[in-house]
Amino acid sequence: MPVSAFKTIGLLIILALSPYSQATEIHTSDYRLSISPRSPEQIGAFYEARGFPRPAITLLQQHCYLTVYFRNTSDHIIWLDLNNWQFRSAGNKLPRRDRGYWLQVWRDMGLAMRFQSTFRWTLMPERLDFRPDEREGGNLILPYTEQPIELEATIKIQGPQTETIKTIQMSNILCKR
Amino acid sequence: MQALVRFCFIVLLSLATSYSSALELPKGIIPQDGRPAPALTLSDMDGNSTELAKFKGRWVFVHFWASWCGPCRREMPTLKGMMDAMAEENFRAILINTAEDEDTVFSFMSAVAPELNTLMDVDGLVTEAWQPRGLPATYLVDPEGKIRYQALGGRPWDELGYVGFLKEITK
Repeated sequence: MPVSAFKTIGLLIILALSPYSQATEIHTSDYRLSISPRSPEQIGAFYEARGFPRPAITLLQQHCYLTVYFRNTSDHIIWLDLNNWQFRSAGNKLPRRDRGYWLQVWRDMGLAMRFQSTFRWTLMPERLDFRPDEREGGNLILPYTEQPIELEATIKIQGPQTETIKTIQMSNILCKR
Repeated sequence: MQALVRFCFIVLLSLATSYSSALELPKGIIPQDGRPAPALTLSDMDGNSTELAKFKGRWVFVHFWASWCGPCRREMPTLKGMMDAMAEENFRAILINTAEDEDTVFSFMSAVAPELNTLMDVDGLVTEAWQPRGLPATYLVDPEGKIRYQALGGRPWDELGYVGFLKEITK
C-alpha cells in the first residue's frame, strides 16, 4: 500500500475522532433537527449587510451563535418550547440569551426599532406548534465557551388521543471563533 | 320509486363530493378562527399609502417577507404568477417587507420580482401585530376583514392547487 494511502486513512481517522465531526443533526421518523454554529465572520457579514451598527454586531460576535433548523416529519403536531431546552458545558448550565435579554440590551444601546425587529425575526421562535411537514429555522444565542456544549431538550408530540414527550440529546456542539 | 331514490342519492353524493373537494386545502394552508385582521396602513417605496380596511368586500392576501429569508426569495416569483392568475377575481394581494431599508428592498425586488410592489413596515411594528409564525407569512383575510387562513412558510402560489383554492374561496 502506498504511503499516500496510509496518510489518507490516517487523516480520515483523525477527522472521524475530531469533535468537529460530531453530528449536530438528528433525523428521526418524527422530526429533523440540525444545529449549526456560526462564526463571528458569518454573524458580522449578515448584520453588516443589513446596516446594523458596529457596537451591536461586536456584541453579537462575542456570543456563541447557533442556527437551528427544525422540521416536523410526523403526521402529528409537535410542540417545541425553548424553555424545555437546556444547554450545559463543562458540567455547568449555560443560560440561553432569550428575547427578553436582548430587548433590554438593545434598549440600553438605543438600537433602532427596525434593527430590533429584524434581529427578533432571526431568532428561533420561543414556542411553536409545528404542523405536519412544517419547518422553521432561527438562531439561539448562548454565552461563548470553548468547551463542548451538550443539549438536552424535550418536545411534545400531540397525537389524536395521546401526548408523547420525547427527549432530544446532542453533544459536542462547538462554538465557532 | 326505487329509481327515484337512487337518483336522489347519486345527486346528493355528487354534491357532497364536489363541496368537499372545493374546500380541500392545499398543503401548508391552515384554517384560522376568523379573528379580525389587525389594522394595517403602510406606504410603498414611492410613498403611496395602502389601508387594509379599504379592501372590505374583497379577499385580501397579506404577505410578510424579508430579503434575508431564504424561502421568501424562492416564493416571491410564484406570487407574481398567482397574482396574474387572480387578476380578474374579487381579490387583492398586499406584500409587506418587514423592517428593511429601501436600498435593500429595492435591490432585492429588482433582481427577484421586478414587477411586484411592496409596502414597507419600516419599524416592524405592523408585522409584530399580526404575530406571524415566522417569515414568510401569508394570511387570507375574508371580505369582512376576518383572518380565515394562514399559510405555513413559503408556498408555490402559482401552482394549480393553490390558485384553484384561491379562486374557490373568492367565488
